[in-house]
Amino acid sequence: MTKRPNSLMAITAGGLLAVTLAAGAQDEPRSEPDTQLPISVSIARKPRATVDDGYRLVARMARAHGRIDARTDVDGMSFSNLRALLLDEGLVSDSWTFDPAAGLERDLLAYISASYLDIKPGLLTSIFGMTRRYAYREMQHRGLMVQGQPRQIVSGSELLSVLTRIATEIDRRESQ
Amino acid sequence: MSFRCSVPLTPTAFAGLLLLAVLTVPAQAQAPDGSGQQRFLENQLRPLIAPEFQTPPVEDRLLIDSGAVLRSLTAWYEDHGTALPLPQESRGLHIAEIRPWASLSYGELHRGFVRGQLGYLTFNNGDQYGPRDRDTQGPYVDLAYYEFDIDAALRRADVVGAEDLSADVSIGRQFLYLGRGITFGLTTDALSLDWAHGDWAGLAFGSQSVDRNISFNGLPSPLAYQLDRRQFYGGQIEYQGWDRRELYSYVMGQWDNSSRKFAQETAYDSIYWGIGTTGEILFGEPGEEMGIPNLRYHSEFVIQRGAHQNFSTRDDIRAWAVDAGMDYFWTTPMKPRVGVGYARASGDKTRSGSPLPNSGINGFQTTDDSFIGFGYLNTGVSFQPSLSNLEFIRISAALRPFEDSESQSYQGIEVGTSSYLYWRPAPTSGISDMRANRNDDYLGHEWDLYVNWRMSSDLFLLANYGVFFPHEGSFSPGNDRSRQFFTVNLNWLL
Repeated sequence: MTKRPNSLMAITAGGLLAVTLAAGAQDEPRSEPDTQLPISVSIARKPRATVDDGYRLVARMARAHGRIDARTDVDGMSFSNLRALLLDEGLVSDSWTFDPAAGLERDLLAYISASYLDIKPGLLTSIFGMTRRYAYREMQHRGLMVQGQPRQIVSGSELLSVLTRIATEIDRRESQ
Repeated sequence: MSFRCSVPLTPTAFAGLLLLAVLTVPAQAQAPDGSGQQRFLENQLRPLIAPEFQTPPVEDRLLIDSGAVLRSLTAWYEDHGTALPLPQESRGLHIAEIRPWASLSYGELHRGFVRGQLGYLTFNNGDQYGPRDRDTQGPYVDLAYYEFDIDAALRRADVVGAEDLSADVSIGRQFLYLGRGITFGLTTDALSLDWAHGDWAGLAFGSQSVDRNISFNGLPSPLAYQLDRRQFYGGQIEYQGWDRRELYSYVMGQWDNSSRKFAQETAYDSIYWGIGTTGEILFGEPGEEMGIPNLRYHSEFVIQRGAHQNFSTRDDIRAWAVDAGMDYFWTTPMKPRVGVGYARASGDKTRSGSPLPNSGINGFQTTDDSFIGFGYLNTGVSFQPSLSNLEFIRISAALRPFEDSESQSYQGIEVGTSSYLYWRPAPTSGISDMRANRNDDYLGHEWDLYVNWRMSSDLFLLANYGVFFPHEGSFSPGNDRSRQFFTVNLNWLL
């Protein structure tokens, strides 16, 4: 894998900045429509992230990490193409047929994240393969996701926070 | 239910009957009998399978999660001693157990949790205490409670000041504790309020213990006193305004409502006042601290009062206990840490038999000076005496030898050891171990080893070994041989 610590730092800093901006934005009236803001900021403002948000941000991160072609227009492609792209990378399951506007549930994000980090969760996973339930438990165990209900829909800031931790974990691995 | 007899009995005759009952009950390891080892194993497991509600959902929709904990526990221990009614060189047993659970939440206001427990106990051939060498344990309702988020409800109602408040009210079977859990640390059927506001936090509750009617040969097990039907009312307040220290104080009253035999004749009602502090030994403003970094301390002092029905008389209880200790940890690889602890619980020099409530006999028309709590303190895995008429020093050390390993699994290995030295404040009185039948104050020493291995996110192994060396001044010949206790406890989170 190509080392791109600078881009990862940018993702991390961008994510944290977005969360900070979102936190500040709760008290201040919004001065700009979301379409004029960086995508990370507009997602951080969302109380409810969607499946489309999750897929698109993960694809962006994969592009930044060199896992997919740098010329891929992640933001402009259709959801079905985006899904096919992530399917090729082994980050989503073939059986998933989510509506792109549906809420992104924690265990779904955990499955994508665990697949991205190539984490093989516990004993049951080694027997039955990766599942959303045990992927979420593994991500909690590693401190990459917060504890809570697996079917809870994540907020935009939580989505960015998880992706930031993944980027940090990738950085840590590459520095070893 | 109280025991009724058609023949008038004198207090002495009652005492004789009661002592007979006490002395015919062996120190068994069957669960859940409230014995020291059983409580040690339960307290070791509890935090690993505790309910998790740390990030309540914001959306108003019903969320359900469920799972189970599968447990395989193998124990081997030496169980000899001429003072025991059923001594044996050693015993081996296995417990297979399942604890299915479900958690529910609706929005940020409503949460619920239920967990059951069903086990199957098998003794090695010839190792059982009675005629049966295998038995089911349960099914029990281990935990079952509903929790309402008060501060979230107040925020929704736009109540001024609700932003600074955190409060939950819970009803149902739940595990609660006060202070460090010496005075009270039990799963009971409770109504509780847990709150925090500014620099202050607290807990208030009223509860009744879960009476599982633990008996042996038709007589109540004195080890199961925590499980008798008792009513508890308590409250704790904590000051959290300091940077690195916390001060707390609590009061708890306990009223004996037991249904066992001799319940009225030996009713044990008690009230506890406790004060304690925990934190780091660092002073001053952040960045300009004075003291010793990475050194944590704890201390708690408890006064116990109340009354102990002693057949025809009612004796006042005047007891106390203290628990203090320090732990130093390094932030270097392997995260080594060392600790030292001291605890003392008062004893009564006029008491005959066990110091546990409802089982020993206090000297007539004297105060009962034996401290008896309804919580738990680790007093060594093999000896495991109750914190009553007991004084001990503990020295411990632990580290994570493979913390830098590439393998996530090996990183989860922790090994540790502890050493104990035991005394009793009232040498002429008994402790919870009936083999200490001589009148010396020094009881002996123990050495423990443990390995905790979080093998993966769904599998963890707990192994404990301990050996207790009794002092011949307190243990008569035949009771003074060293005793080993060994368990391997594998838990699988489904």
